[in-house]
Parts: sequence; structure tokens; C-alpha cells
Amino acid sequence: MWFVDGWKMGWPPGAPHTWDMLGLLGLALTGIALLYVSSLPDFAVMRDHSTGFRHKLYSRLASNFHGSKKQWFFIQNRVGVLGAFYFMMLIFTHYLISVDFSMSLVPGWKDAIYPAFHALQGLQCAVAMTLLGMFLLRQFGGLKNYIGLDQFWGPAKLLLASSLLWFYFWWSGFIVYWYGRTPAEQDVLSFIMFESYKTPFFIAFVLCFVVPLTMLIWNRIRKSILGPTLIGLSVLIGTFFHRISVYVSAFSTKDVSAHSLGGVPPAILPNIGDVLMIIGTIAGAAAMYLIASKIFPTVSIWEVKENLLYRRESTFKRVKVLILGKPE
Amino acid sequence: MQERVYIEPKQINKDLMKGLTETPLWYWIAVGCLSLVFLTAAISFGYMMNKGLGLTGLNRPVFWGFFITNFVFWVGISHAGVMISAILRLTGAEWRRPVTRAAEVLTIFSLLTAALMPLIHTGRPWRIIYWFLPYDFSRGIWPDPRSPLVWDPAAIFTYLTGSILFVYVALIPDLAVARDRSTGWRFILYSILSLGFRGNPRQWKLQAVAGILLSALILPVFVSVHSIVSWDFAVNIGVEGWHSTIFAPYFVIGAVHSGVSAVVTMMALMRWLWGWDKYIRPEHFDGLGRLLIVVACTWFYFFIIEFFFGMFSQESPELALRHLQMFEWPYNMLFIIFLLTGFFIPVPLWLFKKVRRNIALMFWTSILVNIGMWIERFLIIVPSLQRKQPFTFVWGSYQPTIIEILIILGTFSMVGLGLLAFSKLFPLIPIFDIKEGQILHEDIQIGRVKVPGVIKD
Repeated sequence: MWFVDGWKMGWPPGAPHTWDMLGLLGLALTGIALLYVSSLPDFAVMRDHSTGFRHKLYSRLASNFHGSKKQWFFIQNRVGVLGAFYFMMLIFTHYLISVDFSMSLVPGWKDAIYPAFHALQGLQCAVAMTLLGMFLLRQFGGLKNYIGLDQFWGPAKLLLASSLLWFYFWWSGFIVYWYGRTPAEQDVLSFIMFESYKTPFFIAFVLCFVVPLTMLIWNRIRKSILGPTLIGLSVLIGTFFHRISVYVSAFSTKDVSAHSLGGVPPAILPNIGDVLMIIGTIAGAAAMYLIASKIFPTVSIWEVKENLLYRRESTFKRVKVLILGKPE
Repeated sequence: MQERVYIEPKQINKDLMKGLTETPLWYWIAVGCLSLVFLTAAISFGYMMNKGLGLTGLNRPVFWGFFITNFVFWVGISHAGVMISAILRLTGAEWRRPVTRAAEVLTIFSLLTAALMPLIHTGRPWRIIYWFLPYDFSRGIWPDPRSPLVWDPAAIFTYLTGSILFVYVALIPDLAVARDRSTGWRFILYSILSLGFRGNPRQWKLQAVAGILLSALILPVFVSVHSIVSWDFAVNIGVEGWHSTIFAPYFVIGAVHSGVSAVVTMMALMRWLWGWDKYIRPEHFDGLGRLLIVVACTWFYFFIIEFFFGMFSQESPELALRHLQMFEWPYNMLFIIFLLTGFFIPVPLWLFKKVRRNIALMFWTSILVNIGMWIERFLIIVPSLQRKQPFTFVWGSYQPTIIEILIILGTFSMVGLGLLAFSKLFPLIPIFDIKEGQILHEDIQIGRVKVPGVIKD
């Protein structure tokens, strides 16, 4: 897409940064739409149980939702469609950001698997962040009765699978680059992984793959609350360092139009301003989440009720079992 | 989605052991036709061994043609077994039950066929011992463990061993059923194979644990096999269009796409030929269809990425290759056919529930997918080799001969014969799995509606 010089040739319009912004905007809007549609029934509940300005706010947000059959069908349908669309936007946006902000700036780096690897890391971090968020809500949000062991066990399995895939995608990229021993490709590997940015890369490797694999293969750790949470935290820190090894390296190359690096450039170290900005953005994101939790219920009320409807406890040949309904 | 039909256990035994007890006319016709094709292929191979590889279309610079395309294709088909059996078992998808064994058996026979292709491709297969045995036959030639071509047989035979174990462990309870209902040589055979299975709680527990362990352990093998096959191409720096890091997941997901489609083909044939309407129902094709949509879209994503990154650096040799693949005869026609049959015809059709539940349509779309996927492998291998050298005066072309075509057809007949032979000795639908599914089913009353449910421990 960006091997055509935008405005001069007339198409595609603008620099790749235009596409990046459009992708991010699309992703944000789809995410907000998904959050809003899936929260409609809960807004209706809050409208019916509040007074004053909250009643006015939730009346507007609930958009006349009264739980009719047609409205429920609408919710189920739209959540499905928006979810699928969000996933496609996610993959597309990861593709744009990873290729534009990192790969295109490192001469000699033509790595077809990198966008998929970047998207997988995004999904891995999403699971990790969900685990961390659930832990904090459980401990400090008074939601122990709603966020139980099952809610950690399932994502723990996903985290294990995504960590294995992390290694698989990384190895697929590495072996093809390393095997042929061409100077241009060896320089890229040395730059991003083994020389200039080897510290953040190895931290990422250990925290995103070694720690999750060695810990989550054990049933006792997978089937616990603190275990997956700590490993989720490890994955988040590891991914952060991996992003440093890729994006900081990309933005530190001198001649982005060259065909190869022509050597291994040195690493750029952060200063106090960089560190404060990182801490600030993480704090800002956490603050936005806390403010949002004042408007949106953090646990979906209607989904919890629906789950209870589909569960029955019964006895099967002297054993107590759970029957899970699976409607079409 | 789940259409429940309660069947008495005795009826299940009778229905699913039909293949072992009856031999209808169509079976003999199928065996006859497939044997004829196989025999023709065997004669062609013998003739080729006698006269040399010159009988094929292989020549400088295209040294890999139909045989290697077919090798990659059959390794791809073999991915169906683990995808459906292991992954769906671990995720608890109830609709997998009638599908698993057929998929696993397809894996075994397609792997065996795939392993044959490089042997056929050598032209003088006995010489392979010099290449893979770690013994110096006074020639100074040792196997090169640095080559992906040496990793290939290791991966394929590991996967084959794992798949055979997987099929066998799941087969034990059914072998016990067959033992208890047979006499003569069959009784002796099933007695040995069933390992004394009597169905006591300890044996069931061991069998279940073994199944789950094998499901989990075979997954990395499943991913590694086609990744290693892809690295036969990807680690090569001399051939345009091959040196791409996305090859491993691209090949794996393509393998799952063609493998699951092959399973759909098989299920439809089993339903029609054996009359297993009560066991192989539209809901199973619906489930497979939904799985195929996800797999096909993922495959298409990887295809697009591979294609765009081929052109990312705007290097003229790569552009020349893409031009050949898309715009020059006969590859332009094959490119269009591959895209249409591999993705643009089947996937939009599968989006409709009516299509997914129509067995005839699922059968034909699954065949289209495999035609497309075979052409895809051909388009990866041959055009790239045609443009392999930097100087245009050594660019070549490739024309497959009748010998190659007959041998390729022979591989399809080989897999068919293998499946038919298997169906004569062992039930193609797992009896115990069907019975277990019935036992674990329980309806939940919610208001005036009955919702199908599953018992979980």
C-alpha cells in the first residue's frame, strides 16, 4: 500500500499514517459500539433502579430497551456482528501499525509473519489484561461472588495456548531469517534481537514465553486465581519490552530508504522524560477505566443472569454434576 | 444446532458395525475401480523407474513439480485428523463425535501417501538409504541434519506414530465390542487388539486420560509437521517467492482448510453409502461449515499477507514472479481457478445456514476447496522455480506428463482403498463415543422451552 507515493500519484490517499489513524479510529469506534450494544440491557436495569441525574443518563443510554423478544434478538445479533467486525478491525489495525511504524523503517526487514505475530501478541495481552483486571475487581471491587475460579481457569488455558503460539510465530520468523545467513538479514536480527536491543528482547522472550509455559503447564497454577494473574502481569511487562525492542529500534535507524542496515546501529536508551511519559500513559489508561466503571457495570448483569438460566445441578449415577444448556 | 435422536445401544452396535458385517455391491465396485487406478499408477511408476525421470516433465530449472505438489497436498490433508479430533475434544465440542475417527484414519492414510511421494520423486527410491541412514557406505555422504529435507521425514513419522496411537487408543472400546460379537479369525484379531478391555471403571478412566493426553501432546507435532514442510521452501534464499517468514502458519492453516474440507467430503460419502443418516446429521455439517469459515478466512488473511509482502520491497525478480503467477498462461487461469474454488465460491456459500445444512452442497464445495488447494501448492512451487535463476536465458517451463498424472491419481486411489479396507475391519464411527454422547445429553427446561444441554463434571 505504501510503495506508491500518496498524493503525488493520487492513490492511495495520503501517507500510511492516514491509514493508521483511520484504522485506530475504526477500531475505537467499533469497540465503543460493541461495549454500548452489549451494555444496553444493563443500562435498562440501572435506569429502572436509579433516580435523579443517573435515571436521566441511563434512560438516554438505555435507548428505550424494555426486554422484548425483538430487542433481545437485536442485541444477540448485533453483538455477534460487531464482535466479528471488531476482530477483523483488530487484525487490520495491527497490520497497519506493525508494518508502518516498525518494519518499514528498518532497512532489509521484510518479515511477512510480523503483522500476524503482532496481532497475536495483542490477543495475548488482552487475555493477560483481562486476568489482571478481574483480579483487581475481585479483590477491590467486591465481586468475589461473581468472579470465581472458572473465570481465571479458562483464560489461563488461553494464555498458555497464546504463549505457545508466541514462540511458534517468533521461531517461524527467526528460522527463515537466520538460516540463509545473508548479511542484510543477519544485521536485522542482530539489531532487534541479539545485539543492540538484546536486553529488552530477552526480557520479552522470558516473560512472554518461558514464564507462561513453565508455570501454566501445571494444573495447580492454571486452576488458581493468583497464578494466572501473575503470569498475565509477566506477559504484559514482557510485551512492553518487546515493543521497545521493535519500535525504538525502528525509529532509531538513520537511513530508512536504504536497502539494508549496513551494520548494526547502537541502541537508544530512554531518558527520564520517556519513563515519565510511559508511566503517565499507563496511569491515564487506568484512570479512564476507573471513570468508565462508574458508568458501565464491570460485570455484565444480563450475561450473568443468562448463565444462571442455562445451568442446572443434578445427580448422575450418584455423582453431583453440572448440566450446561447449549442453545442454538 | 443439536438434533437429538435417541438410539438404543444395541441398534448403535448393529448400525455402526455394518461395515464389518456387510459388503454391499457398491463396495466391490469402488474397490474394483480404485484398484484399477492404483494398478495403472503402479505400472507407470515401475515404467518410470526403468526408463528414468526423463519420462516426467521435470527439467532445469523446474526440478520440483507434480510429485512435490502432491506431497505437500497430502501432508495438508493429514491435518484434518488432529484438528477435528484433538482440538475439538479438548474444547469439548459435542458435535465432533461421529467425525473424529474418520478424520483420524484419513490422517494416517494421507500421511503414508505423502511419505511415498518424495520416494517416487527420487526416481530411484532405493538410493534414499544413502541419504537418510547415518552410515557411510564408502561414499563419504552423510545425512545433513541442517537440511529441512531431513527434518521432513522425522516430523512426518513422528506425526504418523502419534496419529496411529491416537486412533488405536480411541478404537480399543470398539474393538472390545467387535470381539464380543465375532468368531473365527476376527475374534482372534479383535481379542489381541482390544488388550483385554472389559469396560470396568479403571479401564475407562485410563482410556479417557490417554485420549486427552494424546490430544494435547499431538498438537505441537501437528503444527510442526507442515511448518517443517513449509521450511523446505521458506529457508531457501535462491528462489523468488519462497523466502517468506509467513510460510509456516500459512501452510499449516492451508492444511487445516484442505483437511477439514476432505473430512466433509468423507462424511457425506459415509452418510450416503452406509446409510448413517441418524449418526451423521446436518448439524455436523453445520458445525464443520462454521469451522471452515473461520479457517478459510484465516488462510485468506495469510495468503494476502504473503502476496503483499512479496511485493513490499518492489524488487524486480519478485515482481516478475508475481506477474508470471497472475498474468501469464497457464498460471493466470490456474490463479483464478484457485482463488474461486479455494475461497470465493465456498466461503460466501457457507455463510448461509441453509447451505451448511445441505449435505450435497457441502460435499461439492469441499471438493472445490481441495481442487483450489492443490492448485495453490502447484502455484507456489512451479512458477517460482521457473524464475529461479537471475538470467532469463535459463528460465524454463514445466509440462506434466501422463506418467505424473497417473501416479497422482494413483495416490488418491491409494487413500480411498486404505479407507475402504479400514472400514471392513474397524467401525468408522466411534461406537463408544456416540453412546457416551447420548448418555451425557440432558435437556433443560427454561420456561416453556427445552434447551439441549450437556453434563459436565
